[in-house]
Order: sequence, then structure tokens, then C-alpha cells
Amino acid sequence: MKSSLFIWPLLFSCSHQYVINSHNCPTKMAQFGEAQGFEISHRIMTPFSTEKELEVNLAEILGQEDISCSDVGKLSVVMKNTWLDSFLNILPLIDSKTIVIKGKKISHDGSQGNTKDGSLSLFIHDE
Amino acid sequence: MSENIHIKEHMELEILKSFPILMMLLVGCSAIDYTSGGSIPVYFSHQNDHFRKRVLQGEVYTFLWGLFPKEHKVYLDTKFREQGLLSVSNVQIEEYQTTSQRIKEILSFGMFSIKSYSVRGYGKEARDYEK
Repeated sequence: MKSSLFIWPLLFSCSHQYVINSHNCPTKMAQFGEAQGFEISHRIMTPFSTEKELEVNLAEILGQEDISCSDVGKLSVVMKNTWLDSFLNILPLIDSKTIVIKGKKISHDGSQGNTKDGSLSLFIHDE
Repeated sequence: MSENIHIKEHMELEILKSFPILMMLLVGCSAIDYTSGGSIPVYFSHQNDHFRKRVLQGEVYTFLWGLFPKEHKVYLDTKFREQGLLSVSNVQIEEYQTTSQRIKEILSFGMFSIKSYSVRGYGKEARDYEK
């Protein structure tokens, strides 16, 4: 059956396991919660590898958007398979997944630091 | 020579046959939202006084190529509280699909899909606050 040639890559894709962690995040920050503020969509495209676990570091993803872990008060993580991911996963040598981080920023004076359009702002008050 | 052409035509036919199957599998979209309702604090980061390890495991079912439900919410606070924790930190989320789950998805042409998740966290129970 030649069609089996097209099925095996699909079976291979199941061997990957996404592990989300937050190494390098400071203590008492980044609490889980439903929040409306910023939203970061990050696609992870991994070339075929024999490694079972694919590590995803939230601190790194936030860092790419110039957001420090300590600026995030509440966040939720969405693991998503978009149409594009599904398409890319058909290709034998690529594994694709989208991670959406929805969060709310805190200001360091204790008040909410989100702007009207949901982008981030940092309030620093000097005494 | 003619045999080669015949083989080539046969392969092209096989590709055409498998194309609808691939297309059906293509449309599989799903999302799992890991969040908290806020009933107990759930920190992503590490906290020194949280040392009781708990592992949550679950499966998420989606139907009709991921159209129902469009997004599945996993409330970490509720699930960790059920395990006796009053505060959780150092959360690590794992999401995967086993071979058998993948085969079921392929056999159903994407109409039925299962995904597994495993969430590990360290926390404090009520007795830890009494100390």
C-alpha cells in the first residue's frame, strides 16, 4: 500500500511531548488566572528530532516580546493546533504547535498596568 | 519501459486516493486553555515553602475535527484543590498524544480526537499552614 507512505509521518508526530515550564521566572510572580490584557501567539516549529520532549520556556517567549516575567500578574496558557500547524505536521520533518499566552500586567506600585488597547505599560514611581 | 509508466500511474493514483484522507486530517484544530479561577493561588514560578508534589492527569476529547468544543478549559486551581492543596507553585504542563490516541484519530478521519495532559505542581496543604 503506497498510501501507507503518507500515513507514517502522521503517526510519528504523536511521539512529541510539549513540556511548558517557567525557568528563570522570579518567585511570587506569574500567577495563573483569567485575565484580559496582552496576548502573545508563539508558533513552535521543531525540525524532526528523536527527542521525545520538546521544552517550552515561558520566560523565553515573554522575553522575546520584551516582557519580563516579573511584570506579569496573571496568565493563562493555551496550547493550540491551528490550521497551519495541522498542515505543517503533515510534512514529515516538521512538528508545529502554537502557544498563546494571555496575561495581565502588573505595575510595581500595585495598580493595574494595562493600557486601553491591552498593550503593556510600566509605571515606575520615584519617591 | 511501459511497466515503469504503469507503476508511475499507479503511484499517482495512490497519491490521489490518499489526498482526501490527508485533507480530512488537516482540518483538525483544537485548543486547551490552562488557567485558574482564582480559588487558590497557582504560581508558575517556584516557591521555597511549597514541597508537596501533585500530578494531575487528564484527557481532552474533541469532535468533528476539533470544532466541538472549540476550546477546552482546564482550571488548575479546582483540580489542585481537589487534591488537597491550598497553594501551588512551580507548575509544569505537559501535553501529548499517545500512539493509540493518534491511531484512533486517523481511523476516525479526524472526527474524534483525544489529547492527554499532565500538570505537575508543588504545593502546600492546610496542615503546612498550621506549623
